[in-house]
Amino acid sequence: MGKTIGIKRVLRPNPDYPIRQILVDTSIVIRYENPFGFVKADVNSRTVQQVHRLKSHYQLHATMLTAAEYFKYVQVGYYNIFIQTNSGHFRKYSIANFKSLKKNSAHFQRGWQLRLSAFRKTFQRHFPPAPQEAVNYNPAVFDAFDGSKADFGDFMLYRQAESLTDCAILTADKDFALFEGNAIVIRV
Amino acid sequence: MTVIIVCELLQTTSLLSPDKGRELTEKIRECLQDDADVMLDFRECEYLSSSFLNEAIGKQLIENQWTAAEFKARIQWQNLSEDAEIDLALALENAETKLHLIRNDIDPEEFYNNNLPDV
Repeated sequence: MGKTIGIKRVLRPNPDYPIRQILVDTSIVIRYENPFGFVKADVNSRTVQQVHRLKSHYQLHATMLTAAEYFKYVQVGYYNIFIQTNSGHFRKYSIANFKSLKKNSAHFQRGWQLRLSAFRKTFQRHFPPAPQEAVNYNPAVFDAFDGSKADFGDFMLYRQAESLTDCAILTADKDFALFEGNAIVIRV
Repeated sequence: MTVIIVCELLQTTSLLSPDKGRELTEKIRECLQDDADVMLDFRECEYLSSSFLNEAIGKQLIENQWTAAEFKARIQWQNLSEDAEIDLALALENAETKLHLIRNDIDPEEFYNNNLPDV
């Protein structure tokens, strides 16, 4: 079983772990950014404080997979919310429906532009992508992924952290505890 | 127009907790009751959280049953960073959605649970 620790363990004056950088999971980005105002207030403010404290000790990064996962969350969430609150009839999410709304509805387009600005800000400033060495993929990871313990994004994040000696994962997702490996997982 | 210097009022440059948002809400409410428009001055603000903005800004919109345009006619702001401007615009948009749900007798929490994808 992998190593899961609490956030206090890495914030005390002489932490036991040789961590230099921390990769954030999508669950943290959602709690921090709260893109739909849905995250509970105490969870959001606690996450913002935790991230700021960690940033004063470590480099915090996202990976491109995390950014892609978060983008999909915002895209589908925005579409569903828009459809449910602005249209008389629900149309299941499809990329064709999404593109059609983007083309034909000025209201949809305005809201989407705002979401895109927020998305860019999130990954340009709050959680900039990890340095290149952290995101080099070995094609062999596809052989190792059997989908049994977590989804592909979590699996890749774990493998990336594991391949680096001074790297941990910050997450609110309990699935990370199921991985059997050497990566350090910090649970909030 | 009444100018509120937010960090001075709340005695902090980190605007993170919903409690601080509630303090600002109270002050804004007083001003609005006196029929004054409000200018929120965010000078010296270092950090802003979504929960602070939802409490201070979003709840004003919901409480007064305003649109974002009506909100902006009564409450303005200055000295916000470009990033914080985006956060504030999102807080207003999210509050408009919540108000819509409340008006239609839909529980916002249940709505979000049903409509946001799992990650």
